[in-house]
Amino acid sequence: MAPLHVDARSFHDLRLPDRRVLLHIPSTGLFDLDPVTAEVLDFVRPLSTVQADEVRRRFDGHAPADSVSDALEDLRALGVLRPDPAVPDHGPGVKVTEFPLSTLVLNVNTGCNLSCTYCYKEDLATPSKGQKLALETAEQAIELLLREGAKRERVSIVFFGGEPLSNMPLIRAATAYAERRCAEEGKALDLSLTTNATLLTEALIDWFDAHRFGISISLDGPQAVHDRRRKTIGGQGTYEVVAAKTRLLLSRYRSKPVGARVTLTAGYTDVEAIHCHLKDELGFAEVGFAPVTSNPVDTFNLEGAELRALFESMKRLGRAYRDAALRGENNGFSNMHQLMSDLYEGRRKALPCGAGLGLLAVDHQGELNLCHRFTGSELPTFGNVREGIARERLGSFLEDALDRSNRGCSTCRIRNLCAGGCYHESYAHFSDPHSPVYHYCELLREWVDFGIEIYLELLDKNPAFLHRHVSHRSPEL
Amino acid sequence: MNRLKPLNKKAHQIDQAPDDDGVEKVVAMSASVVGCTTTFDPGWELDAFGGVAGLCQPMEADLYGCSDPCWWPAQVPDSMNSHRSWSEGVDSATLDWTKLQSVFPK
Amino acid sequence: MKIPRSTFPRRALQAGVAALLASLAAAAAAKDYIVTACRPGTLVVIDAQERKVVHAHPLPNGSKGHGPGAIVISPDGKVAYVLHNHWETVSGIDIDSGQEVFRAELSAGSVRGKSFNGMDLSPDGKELAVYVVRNELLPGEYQPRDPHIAVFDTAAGVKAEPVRTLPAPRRVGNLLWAPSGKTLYAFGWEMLKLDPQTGAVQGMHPFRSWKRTGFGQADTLNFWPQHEQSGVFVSPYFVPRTDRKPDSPEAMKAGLWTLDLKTDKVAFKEFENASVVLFSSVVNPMKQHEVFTVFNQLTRTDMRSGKSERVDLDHSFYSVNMSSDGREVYIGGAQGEVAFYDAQSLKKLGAVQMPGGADQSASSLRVVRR
Repeated sequence: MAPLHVDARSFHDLRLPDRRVLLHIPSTGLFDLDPVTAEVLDFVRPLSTVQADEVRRRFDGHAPADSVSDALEDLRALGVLRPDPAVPDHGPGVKVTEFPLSTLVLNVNTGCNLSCTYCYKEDLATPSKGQKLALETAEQAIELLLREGAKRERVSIVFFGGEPLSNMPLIRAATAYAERRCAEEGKALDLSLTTNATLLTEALIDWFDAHRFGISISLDGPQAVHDRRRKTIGGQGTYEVVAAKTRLLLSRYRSKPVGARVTLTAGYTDVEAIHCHLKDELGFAEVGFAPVTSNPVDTFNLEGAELRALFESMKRLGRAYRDAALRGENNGFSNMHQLMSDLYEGRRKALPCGAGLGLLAVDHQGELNLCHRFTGSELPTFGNVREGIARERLGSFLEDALDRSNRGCSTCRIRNLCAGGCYHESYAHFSDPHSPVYHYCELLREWVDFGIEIYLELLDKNPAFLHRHVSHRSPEL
Repeated sequence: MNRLKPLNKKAHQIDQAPDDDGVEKVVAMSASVVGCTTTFDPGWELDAFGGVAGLCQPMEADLYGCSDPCWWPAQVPDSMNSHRSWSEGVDSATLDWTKLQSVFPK
Repeated sequence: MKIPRSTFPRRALQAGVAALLASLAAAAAAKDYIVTACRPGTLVVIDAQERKVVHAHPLPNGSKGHGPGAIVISPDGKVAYVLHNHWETVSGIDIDSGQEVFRAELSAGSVRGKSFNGMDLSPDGKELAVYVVRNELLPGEYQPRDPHIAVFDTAAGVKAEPVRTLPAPRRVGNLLWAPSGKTLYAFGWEMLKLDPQTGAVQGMHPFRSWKRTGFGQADTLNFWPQHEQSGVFVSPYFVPRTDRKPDSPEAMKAGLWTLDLKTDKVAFKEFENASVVLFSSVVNPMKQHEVFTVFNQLTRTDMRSGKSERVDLDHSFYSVNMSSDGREVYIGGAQGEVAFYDAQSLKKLGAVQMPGGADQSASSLRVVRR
């Protein structure tokens, strides 16, 4: 009888107070582990090979023989037990030759009217001294999007900066061009914008509303938090202006929900308080949090005990999300909401995001960057809007990203949910966009376990919430 | 799955995947022979008898006879419609197959 | 120039005798020619006795990247009709001069038409029937249209349009026009008998629906037209036996299925356990119980007894035909060679290469006496 090999890297089992759950890593399938299968799993996991007979003998007398056989069959179906030795996960080993773009980010002006202390932009300037995107370049970029995204039914254009509102003429003209061209090509168009909100006016708000822009406002929390980092060039806090503009926007905006984008930095990690202020007091539809990008000036960086405190705060907010979900409401904590969606669908990611594959960012020179964070950075670009995508180099970059050999990712239990983490974060922290985000790994693994627990609670007690609120949230939509 | 209960969509998909019996039924239907390979027509890998002696000898002799009528279009560019000039200038497959180029989607 | 009255009758007589002698000599010199085609679009005529290529006519305005398909020769031996140009065009080529005397495009407007080798001439050579697979190419999609049999007047010249079209089912390979002129056989799933004027189905010989106790579904490649000399269509087939164990050598049988186009009679014989691939066959015009089959071997089978003899070939051949006296077997197709074998001893007698060694791929191998 041939021995079975145990693939200990193909699963992660979660021991919860009242049940055991198996995360099947290659598929992100979640399974309830019944007691017999759980015991069989515990028996085989420390071994490298095992005979089916051995297992049956071990359980002879205290589990029915056919239950044990059934359990063995299930573990074989999942590849946890296999006829040949487990192969390390080095990634799919595919060649990347197609770049089916759905999204284009246009950096309309490297200039910004603020001077937020932690800004990661390497090429930031004042609005008048900033490099502005020319309309011709924007048009060429839109044509590139339509060409590479020929198979897409909808495409997205995101206006970014610097501060995008400092180049409204370009935004208006590019919008007109994109709308006309998408109508001609029979494609739906989504437009969006991330802004510091300080330059918003009624007229501008109404114009954005008319064109159905998705708007995201960069706001770090209540005044004391926001004003510590998000300052004018002169060093003044901007909370009062931003809050006022936010209220103005939220009072008249109808076409799409408006979100807040929070950057978390050292000293300001009370996530629940920030969320409460932005969601409940100011009235944003949703709030997304991200720890500040690793910065050479480490005043801002979240590390050690502070990072842990932040994380605990995120979990508390996650529990508040759960409480709201059990009542059938979405409390707008978008980080948690996205995790619920990934677990519900069982998403399996080979890459951390769509950068380079579904999304590219265009700088004022028309150069193609992985994403908006990289425009103006030292990372080489991947072609330009005139000559097109530098396919071999971009394909090579993505193939490197897909290659898990020689990385901790190859054995990590959340490798198909995290897939190595944000290229820009890795670039900022390790000077290597392909490095896994080692400084976050432990926390991310804990975060996923936490998410699974919450997900299971929702599945048990209010599955309707998942069907109604979670199942529609796909990155493709 | 016999015992493991699916808890998310992906797990349900795995649960519903065809079992071995289902797979075997597909194999059984490809036993008949037409032309030089089975009606399932993989192309060049194996002949109907599970070996290679029954394939075209040499295998290049089969290239145009099979690709022209799209007998197994997955193995070579579709010269019937999409890549009509793929083999232009390479009139003897046995002598000149090395001159054939790959094609790429536009 | 003025011809003296006294010499005119004698010269006329001499001219007349010379003409008579010439025509007698021509009749005596009628010989077998093998007509085939190869890449990049060349009609090749071979003197079967001399074993020499005597003509290599380019097929005009056709593809150079796709091999020609079916070939049908007019009854007077003068014109070869060839399916070519990604199987979207039929050209009639004068065998001696190479001139294109007939051309029919199977595509029209936005409808792309192709034939999958279904082509035959009426026994009097006046009409050409071509089976056409049709798809309409619209801006955003392809729409399949019903296939049909397009019938052309062979005297229509180089811009021939169908004089009528006959409705036909899908998946038809061979078209075979019976010598009576009254039946057009269409070999698809079944061997259908059609009225060549209206397309009405007169009857059919079952193939897909051919049921016998102990046998499963038979399978054949209905593609090769090699029946012109014997008047009998033959195709090798494979059929599983359901009354044998699956791993028994008898579980899959190989046979030959024949249709006499004159008498409309079908005969078949399973002659061996399936062991080698049998690709196409021909009935010996002089011994109608004898069939030659080719692929990686040349096989001679006696349809009465089921006995066969077999020799290995030095490479694969797709097509097989015979000399009109039944003494030589010609094999071709696939690569760029037509080889000659003795029908009695199965010894190789010689071979002829295509121009430039070009591949024949799926082109027919036909024999005409002229």
